[in-house]
Amino acid sequence: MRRSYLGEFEEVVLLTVAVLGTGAYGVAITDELDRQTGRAVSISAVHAALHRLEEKGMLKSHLGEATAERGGRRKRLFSVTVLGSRTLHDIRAVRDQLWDSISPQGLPAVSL
Amino acid sequence: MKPQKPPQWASRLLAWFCAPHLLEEIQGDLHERFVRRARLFGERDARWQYAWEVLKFMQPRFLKRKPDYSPKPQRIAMLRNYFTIACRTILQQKSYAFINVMGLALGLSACIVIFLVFRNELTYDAFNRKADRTYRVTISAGDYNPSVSFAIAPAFRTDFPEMEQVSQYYYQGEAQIQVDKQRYLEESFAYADGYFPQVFDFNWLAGDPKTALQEPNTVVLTESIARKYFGDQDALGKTIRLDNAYDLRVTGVMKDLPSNTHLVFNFLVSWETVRKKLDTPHFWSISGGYLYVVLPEKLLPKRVEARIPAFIRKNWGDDIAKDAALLLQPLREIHFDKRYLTQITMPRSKETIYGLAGVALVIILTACINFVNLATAQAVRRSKEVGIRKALGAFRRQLVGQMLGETTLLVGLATVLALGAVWAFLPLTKPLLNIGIDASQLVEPQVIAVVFGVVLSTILLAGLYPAFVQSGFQPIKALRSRSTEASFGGMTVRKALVILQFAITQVMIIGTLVVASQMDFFQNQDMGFEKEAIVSFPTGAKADVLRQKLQDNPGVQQLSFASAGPAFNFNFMPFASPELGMVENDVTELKLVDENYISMYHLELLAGEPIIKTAEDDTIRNVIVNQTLIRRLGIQKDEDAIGKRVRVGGGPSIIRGVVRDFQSESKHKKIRACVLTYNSRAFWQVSVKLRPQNLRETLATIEKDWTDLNPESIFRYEFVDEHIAKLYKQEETLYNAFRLFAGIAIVIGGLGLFGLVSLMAVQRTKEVGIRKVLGASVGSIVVLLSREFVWLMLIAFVIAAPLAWYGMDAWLQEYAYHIQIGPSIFLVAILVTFVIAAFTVSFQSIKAALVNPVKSLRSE
Repeated sequence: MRRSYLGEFEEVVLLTVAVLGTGAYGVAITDELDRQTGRAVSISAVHAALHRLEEKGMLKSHLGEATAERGGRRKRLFSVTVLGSRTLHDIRAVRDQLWDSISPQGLPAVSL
Repeated sequence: MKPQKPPQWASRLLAWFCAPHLLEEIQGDLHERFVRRARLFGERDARWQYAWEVLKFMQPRFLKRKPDYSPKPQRIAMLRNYFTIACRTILQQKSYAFINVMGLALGLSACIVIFLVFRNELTYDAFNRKADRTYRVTISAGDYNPSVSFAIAPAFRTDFPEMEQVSQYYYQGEAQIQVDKQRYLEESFAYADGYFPQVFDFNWLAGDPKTALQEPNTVVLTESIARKYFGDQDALGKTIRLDNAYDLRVTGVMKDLPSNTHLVFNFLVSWETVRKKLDTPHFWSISGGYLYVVLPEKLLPKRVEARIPAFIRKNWGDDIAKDAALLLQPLREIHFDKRYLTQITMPRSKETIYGLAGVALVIILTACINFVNLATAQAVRRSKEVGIRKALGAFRRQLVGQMLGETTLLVGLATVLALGAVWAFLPLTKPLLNIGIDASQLVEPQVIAVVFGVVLSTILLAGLYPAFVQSGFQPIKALRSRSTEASFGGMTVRKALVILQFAITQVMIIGTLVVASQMDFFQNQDMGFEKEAIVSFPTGAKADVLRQKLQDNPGVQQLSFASAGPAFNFNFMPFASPELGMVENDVTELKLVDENYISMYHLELLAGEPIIKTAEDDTIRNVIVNQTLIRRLGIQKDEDAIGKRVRVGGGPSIIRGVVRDFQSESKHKKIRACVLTYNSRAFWQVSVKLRPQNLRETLATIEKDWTDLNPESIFRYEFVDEHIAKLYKQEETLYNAFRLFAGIAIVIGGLGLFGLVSLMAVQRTKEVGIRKVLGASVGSIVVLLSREFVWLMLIAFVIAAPLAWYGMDAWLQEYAYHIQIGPSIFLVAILVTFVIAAFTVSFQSIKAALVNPVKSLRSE
């Protein structure tokens, strides 16, 4: 099987970019992560992850509009590349395959 | 509501460390979060959070700059272009490059040599591991004397058992050595006891330092002596014969002494060999022995000195304890302590050494000034280049880099030349400066580091200012017109630098003149006695036969037997005169002489009668004294002293005559009291006044006669004036150094002036042409071009004269007898500078004035 080069946090960030669609930039991604996962992530960690993902070719970016609340600075807007998309799908396939292989007694029941 | 601002320092910090290509998005994100937080939680909280987030961005990922994708070859091409231009400029302006490189090379080599000298001087005796705890025991009894009686060492050992080492050393000087059948007359002969090698860490090549000097009749040689006697054979165990008296077995060989030690010896004979013969219980029997002690760690010398009076009282009684004290002189101070002038190696004052270092700085400064002057003056020529470079987008930083690079090229060239020059010069340091410096020192890390530092600071000193001036040109101005000098300013700076340079040169000239006249004063001033064509040598055996032979020698004009000539002093005695109310003892020199002494040396008898031959066993001695002695007794008129009674060395004497004071020591010291009396038992030295004709034959005859009487010995003689010159060896060294370095400073200054004037002449070519067309004479144009320098020189003189006077006067104070710095010296100094300046300036200005105006005005 092909190895996917993603760490857990990178995977989550990549997914979040996908969730946000056209409006994915640093602050928005951090907020979304906060909301979806409930964990407090630092903006620098998000930037680092985005940077890494871009280096790996799973994200691409372009500079967007400048806004007043940003002190007149532009956003860097990220979107998932084909490679990123395929990697996400691969990971998901592996997970699904694993889930499917779990026998009903394999996991202790979790009461909701 | 005014817009809220994140903390400025954090923003600045971010902008500083963050990679530029990431900066904008990060700044934006942080700002956005800040604004939101400020709204939600208040500004204070938001500011804190902002700063915290900025700090968290400090990770390598965000620090790392984006690799520069601008194609590399361009840079190399640019560098190549810089290099090409630099080479072209140098070749185009050959004479300026030459002046710059020569000046810098001279300056750098002087600097390096002086640094080596400086290092050598300041590390005197530091090679000994125990140097900081080692002291020399000296006597202070009104006067300071570095050597003490041989009685002190054993007593010291008994009474100060806590001393780590107590070691006796005794410098004899000349000796005669016989190896097999061959006789040698050797200098630098010394004795030392078995503890000596434990006090001083010499470099032993053979033999055991612990045992080599313990037994009697053993000797340790230096490498060069061992090689001289035994060639490549092993010297250990061989025998040499000393002064026809002792057969010494070689028990060790050590490397020749380093240049930075106060000790001087080539032979070290075990003290046991002569201990019994020289042993003395008396405190005052001082014959040149040095005593070294090593204190245990943490014992202060003061504590030892405090116990000295009790120590002297216990061993030698109250009288001596009252008169004399022993001092502990730190080993590393010996080389600098000017109180002890009777040493084998004369001390050198630290001021002289620091003065020399100052000279080095001044010289390199002069060379840098040249560079700055020429570079700024020349900057105009290159204004077009700078303009074009700027127009094509060069940053100022790049231009500064380019100019500094050119400076580095020239300084580098100069450094290579300088190192070569230093290499060639080092063997001359011994004869010229009396300091032996080995060329191997050049590759020591410390020296390399300092040389590198000097070169680097030279580059910055010489290059920075011109680089900034040049890179500061406005391209539009530089390109628009044939700019003239004035539009760039810098003239005042250049004038100030020329003044500084003139001032330096003048200080050096005045210094050299003062040292020169003091040297002349030393050697040629009246000493109070005759010193021409007088040769002295040891009496040897059979004095009466020798006297007869000398009298029969037609080349001998006059001769005298004595204990010592006027310029030697070995014998000192206490004197007093209870009859005249002088009870306390004072010190006088004692010279035991024959009846011819006063007339041969032309001592001037002021009152009384000359010395007559008397019987040795007279209870009352007839003495002749000098003026200092009778003044000490309180007698003003010379005649009044005749017939007065004095006690010299305890015995009663009657003053029979008074002679004018004569200089028996170097002019460092005041003339002392002196007593002359007849005593044929002490006629150790013969002095002979030779007739000027056939000097060589006469000396040969004397040598033959003397050797016939003393077949076992080698005849050695010394001319009195040569002996006197030796007393000022230290000063002669200084004089040589001054002449050398002043010469270098003057040459550098002259080179700079020459370059500057020629540049100015070139720049004013048109002006000169027009003036000539309008009828100016050659003379008036020369004056026009030179006038300014006369002014600069005069201003420099006003600065230089007081400085030089102050420094040189301080130096002269070291001598009891010295010249006065008169106006003539300053006059000569300014004249010399004027002549040098006039010569360099006029050469170029006359050349410029003679140019045919048709040529200079033809082309635009």
